[in-house]
Amino acid sequence: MSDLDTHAPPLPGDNRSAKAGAAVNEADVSTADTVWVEEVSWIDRVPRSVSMLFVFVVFITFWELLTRSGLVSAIILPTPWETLEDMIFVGGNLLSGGYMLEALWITVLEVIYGFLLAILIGFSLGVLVGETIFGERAVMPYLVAIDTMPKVAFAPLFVAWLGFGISSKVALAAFIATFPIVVGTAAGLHAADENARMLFKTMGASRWQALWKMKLPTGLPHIFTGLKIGAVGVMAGAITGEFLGGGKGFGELIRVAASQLNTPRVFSLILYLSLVGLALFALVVWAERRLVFWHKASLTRAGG
Amino acid sequence: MAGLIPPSNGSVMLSGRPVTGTRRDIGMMFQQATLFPWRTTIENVVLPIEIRDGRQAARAAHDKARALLELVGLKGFEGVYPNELSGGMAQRAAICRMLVTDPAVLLLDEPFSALDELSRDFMNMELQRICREKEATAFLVTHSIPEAVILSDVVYVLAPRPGRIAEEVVIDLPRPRTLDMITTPKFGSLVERIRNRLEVEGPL
Repeated sequence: MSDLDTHAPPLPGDNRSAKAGAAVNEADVSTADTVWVEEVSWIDRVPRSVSMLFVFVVFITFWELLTRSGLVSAIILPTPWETLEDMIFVGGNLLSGGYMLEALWITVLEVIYGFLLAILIGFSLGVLVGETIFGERAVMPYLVAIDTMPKVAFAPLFVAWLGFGISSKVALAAFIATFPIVVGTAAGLHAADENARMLFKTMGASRWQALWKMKLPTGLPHIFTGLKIGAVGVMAGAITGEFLGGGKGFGELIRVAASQLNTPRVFSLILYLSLVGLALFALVVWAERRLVFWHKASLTRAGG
Repeated sequence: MAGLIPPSNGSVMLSGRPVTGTRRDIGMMFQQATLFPWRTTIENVVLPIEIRDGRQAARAAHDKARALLELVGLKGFEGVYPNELSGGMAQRAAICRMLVTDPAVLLLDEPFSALDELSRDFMNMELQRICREKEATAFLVTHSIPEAVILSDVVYVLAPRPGRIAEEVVIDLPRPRTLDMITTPKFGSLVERIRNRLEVEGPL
């Protein structure tokens, strides 16, 4: 603290000297000079809904200008308005229970079955790999090896094995979604700290008890991270399966629309499909909030 | 001593029986409270009973757990989840979890070293009171010489390379101990004696 600070009037904008001056002699400096606030940029103070709307409007405007300028052929990129018109048509078909609803239902079934299968296999393998040394040593390397393969390339195989029906799509969807769940489960089982393990040991807990009452609950946040990644992958798997293996699902509708150069239809089908993916993701987030209620970080992340 | 790690040599005898694994009559506590966040305070306290005798027995032990929580001054926090407890409160809940099975011996591994100085003093006095009320024997491992002196009847000074007991210091301060004793000459000389011994033995 120097005398300089007290006697010289603090420079406006130099908050540090104003504060130091106040600490030495409050009478010399009026409170108006000492109270200062952290400056927050105005763009960070805009409410979320407004900023989201803003980005949406900018995007649509850019899209509209791009189609009007004639730089891109109307066949390749439809206008936002055309897309909206088609979305209304597709929405009407879905609501009236038309052929599109049937196709959507097939895809939804593939996604649900695929996800359930992936959870079952992924969780079991995750426990094997995360809980046993044998699993970690002997099984994990193979899982990593398979995980690095481009899994979409297996689609023709699944079609050859399981036919053009729903099962080949379920298989591909589950195949893609299994690995993140395995990794999430295995990582979760390693998340319990040394003290917790020691504590269970002093209480004479069996391995099964330690797994169920300590390791699995501790690992739930990791497991849910795996489930979230899996939920995204299962959607991609089902649609890829339909692209490559035919069938009667939504992917087939997209493929047909694309082959007819009906791009507005492709756009609107994709948008409706994303709603299914969003719903599945939201379901996982909802389950996470219910089960991992103590994990505050996961709550805020899920809320975002 | 808790039967967690096999000994390199020698044996541990407790109540006439050798310790060859974890035992019911040993209660243990670590630096961290290690409460599980998905269980309420009382569910954490009855956890050892749930592990050993199942859910039925755990439910039956709720009254006992409530009494213990009252003993450590946590009445009213039974249904609270641990992330709402402060560090000292969590450690007290951990004490209850250790006591709920009525162990003959308490093994405390630097139980309060994660707490601030004032809470630590307070918790040490609480520990003394609880041990008196429960008539429990406690082994406390600590890096704080004053803590060792204020709490103990006997201090075993450990020396490294090879790990062994370097000296046995009997603390003949009257019971119950109070924090005022820290400033007495007797206390000071005991602390000095242990400190000198540790310095002779070299750094850990």
